[in-house]
Amino acid sequence: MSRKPVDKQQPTECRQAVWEWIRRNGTLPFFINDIAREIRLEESSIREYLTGLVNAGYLERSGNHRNFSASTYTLIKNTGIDAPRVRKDGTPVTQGIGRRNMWNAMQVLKSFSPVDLAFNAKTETHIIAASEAISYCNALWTAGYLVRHPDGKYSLIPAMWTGPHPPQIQRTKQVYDPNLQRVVWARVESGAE
Amino acid sequence: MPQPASNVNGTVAALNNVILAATCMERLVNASSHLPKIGVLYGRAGLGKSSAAIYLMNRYNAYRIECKSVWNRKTVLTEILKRMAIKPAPTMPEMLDQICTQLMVSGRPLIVDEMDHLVKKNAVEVIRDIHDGAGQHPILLIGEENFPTALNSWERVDSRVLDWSPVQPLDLEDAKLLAEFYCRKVSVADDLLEHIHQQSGGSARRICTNLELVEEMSLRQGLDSIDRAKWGAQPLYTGKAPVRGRK
Repeated sequence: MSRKPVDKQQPTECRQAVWEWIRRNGTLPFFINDIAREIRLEESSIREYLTGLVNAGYLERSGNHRNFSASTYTLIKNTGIDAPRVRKDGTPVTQGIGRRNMWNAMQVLKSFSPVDLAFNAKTETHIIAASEAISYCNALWTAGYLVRHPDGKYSLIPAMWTGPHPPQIQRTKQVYDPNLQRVVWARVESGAE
Repeated sequence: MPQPASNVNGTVAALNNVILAATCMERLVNASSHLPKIGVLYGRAGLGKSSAAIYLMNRYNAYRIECKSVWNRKTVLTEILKRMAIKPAPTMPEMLDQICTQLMVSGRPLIVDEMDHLVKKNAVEVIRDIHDGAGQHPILLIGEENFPTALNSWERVDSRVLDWSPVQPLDLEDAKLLAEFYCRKVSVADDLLEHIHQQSGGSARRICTNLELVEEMSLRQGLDSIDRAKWGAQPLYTGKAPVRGRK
């Protein structure tokens, strides 16, 4: 099943919930059904995430390799509260890194133009285009996170630092804040809802 | 995972002070387990310590707090927990445990920016508690130029410093790098860049401001390239008196 838009998910039906379940369970071996009973996520999604965690070396899988529900998993690498972002093959998910880098940079820079932001948020492994910085600044300004100064520079409003996770711009042009777990801005269109 | 810098051209990673900070962080992260792992990055304002901090956050996935003059020991702990998205426990010893556990299991370094404020508030020991409690965890302290002297009187923290890194005024290479990034529409000749660099006193902040000024003025005059002669005696931000207070 395709993934639901992030604002339509319940807190109990995301990868973070799966990871938290695994950490609570500790180093005891568990079956996929143990998770599926408590987390309201499609079993196929849980399986995909567990496979990613196994391939990335967070979990160890033993038992029947043909049959997912008959094999047990054990936590072997606990990296703290943040759910590891891995693909099915175990490689790290890179989507959203640019946004995270910019969100980090905004807290540090007291006032910044999109150019400043792109320059400071760039690393050798992740390039940020000026256009990306412009659209992110604009979205966060619209959603009330940033103030815009007359010279075109922006500042992050200190109280609007809602947490370590960068607000996301959804495909529908809503702004979703994963720290608050809600949509903080949506374009009002006549006839919608 | 951090890899050796390869494609650093045109990124903040090529600035000398960022390289300095990254080298310091590498030493902390790679130091053998019995060594203390506190690093100190210090120098006057405007030399790019903040840019370095952003780079380290993004590159090493580090947690960072920025201390304020009104903070006490408890605020330090709650602010770190906020950065970790962990709900603070009711007492300070429990909060300390929460922080140490998360640092140890995640392996993410901690950056304490504007550390000068903690020295004044006698809250330095809390940093030592975190460092020791998390099993000699890499912590980078960032402060102003006289920060090392102030830290001297805190023997138990001072003795745990593995690396002292003083940030330097920007050199001409750094200024060139900034010009490549900040002046995309106008080409700035080397002699004017030298002039800007000299007038800015090696401050990253002022070099950027001046580059933006030069680009804007040139565009207004319809120029797509500018040198020292064309710029003439127009003023630049130097940070000295009449223009003091302007960034």
